[in-house]
Amino acid sequence: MGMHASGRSRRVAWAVVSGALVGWTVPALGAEEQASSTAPEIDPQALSALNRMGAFLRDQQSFAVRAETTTDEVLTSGQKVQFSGQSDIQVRRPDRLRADISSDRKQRQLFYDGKTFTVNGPRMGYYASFDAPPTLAKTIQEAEQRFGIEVPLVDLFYWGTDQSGVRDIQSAIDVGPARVQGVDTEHYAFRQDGVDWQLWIEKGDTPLPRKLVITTVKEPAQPQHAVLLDWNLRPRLDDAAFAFVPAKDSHRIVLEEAKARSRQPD
Amino acid sequence: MRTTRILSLLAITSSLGLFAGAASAREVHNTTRTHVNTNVDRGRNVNVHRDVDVNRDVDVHRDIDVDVDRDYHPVARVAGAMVAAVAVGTVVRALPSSCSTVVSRGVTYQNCGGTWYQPRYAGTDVTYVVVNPP
Repeated sequence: MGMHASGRSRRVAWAVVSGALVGWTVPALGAEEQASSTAPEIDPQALSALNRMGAFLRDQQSFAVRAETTTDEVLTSGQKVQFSGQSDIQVRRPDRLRADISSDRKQRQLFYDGKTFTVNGPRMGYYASFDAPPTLAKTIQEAEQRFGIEVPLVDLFYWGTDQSGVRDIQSAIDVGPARVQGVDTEHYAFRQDGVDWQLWIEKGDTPLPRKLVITTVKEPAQPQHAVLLDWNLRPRLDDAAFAFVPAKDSHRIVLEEAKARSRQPD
Repeated sequence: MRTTRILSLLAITSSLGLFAGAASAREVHNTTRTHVNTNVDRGRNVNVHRDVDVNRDVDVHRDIDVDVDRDYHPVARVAGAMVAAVAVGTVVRALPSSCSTVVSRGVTYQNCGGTWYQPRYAGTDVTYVVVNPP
């Protein structure tokens, strides 16, 4: 494993190993290591790997990706519970998107057909729509900012753009090689305000993100959101896949603007 | 006036199963971040509105069973009897049991034992605002 690792990743691996070995008998050493590891460190190669992946993703004119997610929620007692979910996302640039999202608790669908954006709850029997801008980027932005709709894996659309927040990264390290679901990847770890996050990027000509873990560090319980990604870069996506047709017994309801929600009712 | 408001809060609280610590162990303290990059007020969680906006009359915390599809009822809910006192304009995340869908002049309502709710999407969550009978 160490053969292909860079000097830095060997150092990290060594720190992990030595921490694990020594930690049993000398707990104080663990504390010291923690203190010294808070110094920010930016590996330019980790950032360029992130940018290369972003550029590759943006080059894909159409793709389908399945995301298997696990998300910790923190109860008021401090206890963590974990929920599972699955998102199927289909994209055809510049103006088509569909997402089928299901978690332990709910199901949602998002449709963008170039003109209209719709959120649908198949089990609820409710849907709501807004007139969408002509491009995917603008539509995702409007869904988020105006209506508070989260498009799953929205990071995929931001990486490699000005909005990706590479400037916000305070620490970037190359952890080393790793296999994710049978695929050879390189494992990177980043820190920025509020989150520590890790990314596993496929090696070779298709630098796809294969796994993502986000740790919310401001919560004492440090809850995590983990995603495994399964890609199809040659999907067959016809217009019908992106067109929303309401079920016979479903009802259109109001889509509330996010601003309206901050007003106190009385 | 104030008493009515408190009563209606009690009614809603109990209807959500959050009353008197009965379900307090099931409240979610905060929401985990699911995106690294967000256009919504960078550095802040896009999910935060869940905790601060909806259910503001009840409790800043949400119950893990409240943000769910309507037909998912893992925990028995308090019957709808007390909900009659809910004030118009109140926003809730879950309906009492035994509601019927009514469409009037193109608007969809839920009639729950005489209290009328209008469902709407707040992000991808469905919330219900108490309204006057159509």
